Amino acid sequence: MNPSKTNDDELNAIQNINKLIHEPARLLIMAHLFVVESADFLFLQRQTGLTWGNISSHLRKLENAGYVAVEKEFIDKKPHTTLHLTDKGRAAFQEYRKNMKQVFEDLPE
Amino acid sequence: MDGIIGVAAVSFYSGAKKIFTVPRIGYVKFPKQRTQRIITVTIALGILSFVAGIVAFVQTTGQGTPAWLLFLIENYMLTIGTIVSALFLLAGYAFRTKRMYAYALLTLVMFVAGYFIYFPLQYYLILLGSMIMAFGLAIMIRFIRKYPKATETVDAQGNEPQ
Repeated sequence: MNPSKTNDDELNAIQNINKLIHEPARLLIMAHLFVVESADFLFLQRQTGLTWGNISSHLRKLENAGYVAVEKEFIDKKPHTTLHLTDKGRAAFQEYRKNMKQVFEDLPE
Repeated sequence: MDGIIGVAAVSFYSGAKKIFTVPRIGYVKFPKQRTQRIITVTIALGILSFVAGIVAFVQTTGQGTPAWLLFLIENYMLTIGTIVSALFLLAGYAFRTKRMYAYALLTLVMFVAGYFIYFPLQYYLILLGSMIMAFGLAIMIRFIRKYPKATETVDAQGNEPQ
């Protein structure tokens, strides 16, 4: 087996990692939204421990990428903003998970 | 009567959630698989109770009180303890709430003790209810202290909501 070839493959796998999701704060947000149907800002803040401003700026990036959708709805006659992963976001997160698994599986002991 | 208790319990639960939980830890909607399990357990329990009730009724009206029913009535402390424990176990499974398993064990221990040590049934029920309520209150106080009501609110665009 050619060692340099193996290293190249591993590097390729790492390069395929979605960098938008890979950022720790965004990964936290994506992971939390992945396991629920929808959630609001407060829930994300409590679960991730991030500040409001931080969540807001990361969500904007995820929203711009089409991974997260923001919905304004009325709950008990009060306006409420809920967030959920779009189909594209779910697919991207699944792909990210698969790629990360691959990266670690490919690593030699 | 059961229906009234059920409706009151659901109303209390949703009211408490609105007042205590949502303003503190936010709103979350879980995927259907999770709620499906709760619905399945509730339906299964309803069917089981209905069938048991019908069997007991038919046997009682047809041939007098059957031996198995007499046995359950005679050993009512064990019967009630087992049924209530089973309900707690099911609730623990359906809602993924670990403390329900502790309640199940507490109920079983208390009613088995009640089988051997005689005190009127209501004493055991009051004691069990008080212990569970005290435990629930302690959890609620801890929760309220840990998660104060959120004061900051901002949406994904960084705007204050209307």
